[in-house]
Amino acid sequence: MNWINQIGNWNPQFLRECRGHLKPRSVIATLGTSAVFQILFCALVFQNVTTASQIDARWLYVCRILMWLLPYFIFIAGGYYLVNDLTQEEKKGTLNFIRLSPRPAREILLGKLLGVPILPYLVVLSVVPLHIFSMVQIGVPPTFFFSYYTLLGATAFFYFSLALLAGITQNLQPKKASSAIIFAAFSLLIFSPFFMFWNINTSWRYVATAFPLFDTSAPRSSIAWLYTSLTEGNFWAYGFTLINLIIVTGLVWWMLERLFHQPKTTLISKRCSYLLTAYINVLIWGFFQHRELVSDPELFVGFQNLYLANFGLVLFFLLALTPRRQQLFDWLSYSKTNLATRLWMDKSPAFSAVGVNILIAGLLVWPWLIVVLRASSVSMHFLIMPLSIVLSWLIYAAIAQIIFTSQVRSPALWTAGSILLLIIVPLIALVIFQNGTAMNPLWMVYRTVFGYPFSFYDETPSGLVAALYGGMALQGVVLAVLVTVLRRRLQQLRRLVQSPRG
Amino acid sequence: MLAKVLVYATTTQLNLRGDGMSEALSPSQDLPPNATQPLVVETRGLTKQFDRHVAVDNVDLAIAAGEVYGLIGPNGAGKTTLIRLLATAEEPTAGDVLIGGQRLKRGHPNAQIKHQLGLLPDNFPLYDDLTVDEYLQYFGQLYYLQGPNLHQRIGDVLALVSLENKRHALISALSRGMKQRLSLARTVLHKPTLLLLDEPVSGLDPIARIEYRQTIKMLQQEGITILISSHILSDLEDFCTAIGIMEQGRLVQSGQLHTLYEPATQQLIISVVDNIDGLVRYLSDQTIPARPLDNNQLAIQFTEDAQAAANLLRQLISADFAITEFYRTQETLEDIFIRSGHGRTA
Repeated sequence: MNWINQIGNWNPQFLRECRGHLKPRSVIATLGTSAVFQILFCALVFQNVTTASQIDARWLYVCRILMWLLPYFIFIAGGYYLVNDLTQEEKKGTLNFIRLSPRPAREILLGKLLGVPILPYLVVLSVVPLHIFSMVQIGVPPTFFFSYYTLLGATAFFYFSLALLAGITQNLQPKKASSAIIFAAFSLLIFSPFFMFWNINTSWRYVATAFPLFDTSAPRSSIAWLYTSLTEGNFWAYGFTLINLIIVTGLVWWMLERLFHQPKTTLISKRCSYLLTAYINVLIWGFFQHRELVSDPELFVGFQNLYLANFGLVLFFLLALTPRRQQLFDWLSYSKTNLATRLWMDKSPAFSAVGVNILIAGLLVWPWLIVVLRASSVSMHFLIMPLSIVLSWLIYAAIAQIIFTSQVRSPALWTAGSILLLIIVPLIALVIFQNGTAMNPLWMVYRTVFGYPFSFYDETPSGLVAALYGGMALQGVVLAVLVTVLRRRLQQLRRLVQSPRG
Repeated sequence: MLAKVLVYATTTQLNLRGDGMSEALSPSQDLPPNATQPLVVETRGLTKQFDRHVAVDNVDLAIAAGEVYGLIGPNGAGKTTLIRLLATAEEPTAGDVLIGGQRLKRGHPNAQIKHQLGLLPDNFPLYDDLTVDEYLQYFGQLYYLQGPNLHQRIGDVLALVSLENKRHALISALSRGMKQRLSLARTVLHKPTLLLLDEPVSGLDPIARIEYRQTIKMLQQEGITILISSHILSDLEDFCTAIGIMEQGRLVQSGQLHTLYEPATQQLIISVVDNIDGLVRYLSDQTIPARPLDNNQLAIQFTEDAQAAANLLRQLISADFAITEFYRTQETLEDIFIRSGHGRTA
């Protein structure tokens, strides 16, 4: 049939997925189950209803249930389908043939994204009429309907892009078979609740106030970005969410297109990591530019959040940005090993790039910190203290690269284990052995070396400042040793490249 | 049995280094595979290193248009890695690959080059949930084939691999041999200029192998340049125009097949009813050293042309020897492989 051919000419992957998934039996089973569910659900909701007000209340109930059910269903089912499909294709080896075709990765992956979860899409489409009808019955404005479905669609597109990324990333997954289940669990426990929480408190707040679609009994949280409230029920909240979805989806597709053609490369390119760091820092920093945040502790919550976000990013980069031994081989053999290649080439060691990422974050955090500190009574030593954190992160980056340069079987697992040990064990020791809040110089050195130079609300006694600097000096020594080891490892690799059989 | 092959052999192009290791050739400089045809494949110093293991070691390869190039070597010699490097499935550690004169770029989709390539790996995963027609349509559309052209092409390739009557069958219902043929159909569907076949006949029964050989010959007649790796050397001998021997990642020998045969190994086998000793003496008088074999048979080293062979036969008949067999033999591809490649770099 002509229209089928046209679909295939536009996106052969989409047509292939439709042919694979839209078998008559599956379609009938899916639509039949959906219809039976809807009939049973309505029958249950509307039993023993007599008055008009009762009917309205029940329609409200139907609308509310579907509003919660649809995102959970589409994120869990769609995510599972996509990760499972790509894992199976990688396992069978069929994805390699598609990779060798001249079609751009964008088309292939879009075909996957639209075609693989086609049955969950059908289920959602079959439920939409009932959802719209229930909205009309209770008089919900069309703008809400529009907002709900565009945000659901845009978020699903982002989330499914993330699922594609999880599917084609083989080198970071410890157990390929279980990755689809892990992704579905993530959808159920984290992503879907977050989607609902965020939108109820921002984009859909105005509807929630007018119609009791959501539980608004909880105290209203105030969310603003760059002094603009996101909880006042204006269009800004909706636009803000959509713009950020577009940005993160763009970043994910950047990674996807690169990884599709080079499945053995690092998860993220160095350029992409710099942009991601800048974006995340601006985003989180913006949340703490708020009229209502006036006191020092509240502003420091902002700093704490930026610290945590950047810590998370650094940990992510340790696994996603650090090249494996094989990639280092390639880099050493065909590329110059100068600073420019270290900063931009994806196969070069990640140590310098992690440093650049920290610098990007610092360029944003430090000026803000100076402004905050000037207006507060907090000691200016706090300006120096983040340096200690930076040094500890660089130590992690050096350790990760040394492990990835070694001939261990699962460098990612070894790195994750080593870094977790370095983060958690000193912290446990601090909690167990530190005597209350009292700090002595030895403890301060210990805390500083392991990246815990102060707690955010504490003021460091001036008598312990020397201990802080001592701890940082020790960090510097450790870092220097690690960098030397890393350099030697790279030299060994270079020798191996030059005379492999020697 | 009569002599089947008359080859004008030249010395082989094997260069030996002082350490006894075979030196990789530079065919583009030293041994033009076919000077009249443009090069479809050219590699320069191509290397792929997996940690300490150098799978492909500084390979300089040149394959001219229309050539059928057989790649032979023991397991682990680097044949599959070389094919994967040419197919853009793997990035080299060092060196360059040029396909149809275009250089493969690192970290680049290389879409134009991919359009010229057809890869058939040794394992051939298929989509069991599709029919043969749907499968070929899918791959045709991946290569931008459309409409009647695509349907015509699907018909052509199915005819080529004798699967016309299975066009609407589910792939899961096909036998292993049919699946292998379907994979070949998929590989040539978009008319690649370079076909890369990695052990295409492994696991096939003898009849399927013969059919497969015929198909490759037909593709050769269509002018497609083919690089094929195989363990079954007799198959390669049948249709290859050039051969490369790989050993421990190195291309230890490469060139047109007729240039690789060792002239010293060309022999004439003569059988007589009786008087084998007389025949040996007669040949000795003619300064032709003969080596008696079993059953009234002897072998003489003979590198002259066909006319000289005919003259000798006439002479022997005139001398009243009762000749029952008179044929020329030459070393096989297997002999070349053993002689010049296998074990030399071990």
